Amino acid sequence: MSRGTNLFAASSISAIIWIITLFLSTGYVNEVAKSMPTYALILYFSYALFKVGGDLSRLKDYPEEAESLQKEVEESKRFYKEKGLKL
Amino acid sequence: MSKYSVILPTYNERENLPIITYLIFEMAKKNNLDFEIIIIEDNSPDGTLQVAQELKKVYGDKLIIHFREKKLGLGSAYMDGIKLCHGNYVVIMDADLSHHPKYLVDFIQKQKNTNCDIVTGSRYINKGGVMNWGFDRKLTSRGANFLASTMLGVKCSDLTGSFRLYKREVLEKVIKDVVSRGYAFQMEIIIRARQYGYTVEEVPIVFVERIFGESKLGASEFQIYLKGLWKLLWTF
Repeated sequence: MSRGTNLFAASSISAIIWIITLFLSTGYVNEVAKSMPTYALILYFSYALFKVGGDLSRLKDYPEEAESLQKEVEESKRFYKEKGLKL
Repeated sequence: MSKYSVILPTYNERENLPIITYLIFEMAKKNNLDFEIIIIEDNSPDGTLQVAQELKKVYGDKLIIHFREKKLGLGSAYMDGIKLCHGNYVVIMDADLSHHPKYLVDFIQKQKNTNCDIVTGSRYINKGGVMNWGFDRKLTSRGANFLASTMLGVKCSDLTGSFRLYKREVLEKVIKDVVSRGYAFQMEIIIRARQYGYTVEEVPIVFVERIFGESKLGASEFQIYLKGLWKLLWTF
């Protein structure tokens, strides 16, 4: 079974359980059941925000890398000039 | 003794090609490593082939040029490249200077220490990073990686990265089965490799956005990525 099939099966089963709970439950349980899908979505997006946001805040820029690369570009040009290449 | 073959697909890289070639061979010389480069040239209109032929005057047999009549994509470039390799290890990297050859020393060290089958460069682990990326590019890239790892359930900090070192037989085996194109191609290689039980290690790299030439990344790339990701969902 592919991952897609697994996810589809898991979400179908969850959906069926949720619908059954919605129709058969009363009172407080029913109130909670109604808001479960929204809650699940909020949970996922919060996790995404936390993970991606956290990673982005830690993703460093390295200006010194760009500078050293520029120097190496010049070095390579000198090397080829010495070798007499027409590039 | 280990021999390393670098497969370098090129399209419109006349300015970057001499520089990347120089950097690879300088790194190899400084570290006493046996390297060769296989250039897969897809008939660039900017004269990249002529530049490659000039470079061969300096590097001789260590530089192999494979010319193709038209742009045939990365997957076929790697497959054609492997056939021409003499090394027992294969390096895949971009020719636009975003992947600096100096990291290959770290890749090789990691491979020797762990005897892993694949070493992949990651921008997103400690000591990794980027340069010349706007916030939107960072967000797109990180978001895409997050989406892929949650949808596919794969733990890899930089799934779409294309700076890797492979044991030759590993790449030969895995690449035959790969069906995706674009970014999904790189992801699929890692997923398939893991399925076969091959080990993957990560090394931090700093990715410097290209300084010469035009980026091949566009809005349609993201669409292709999503389509590729969707396909992978139903493949594994």
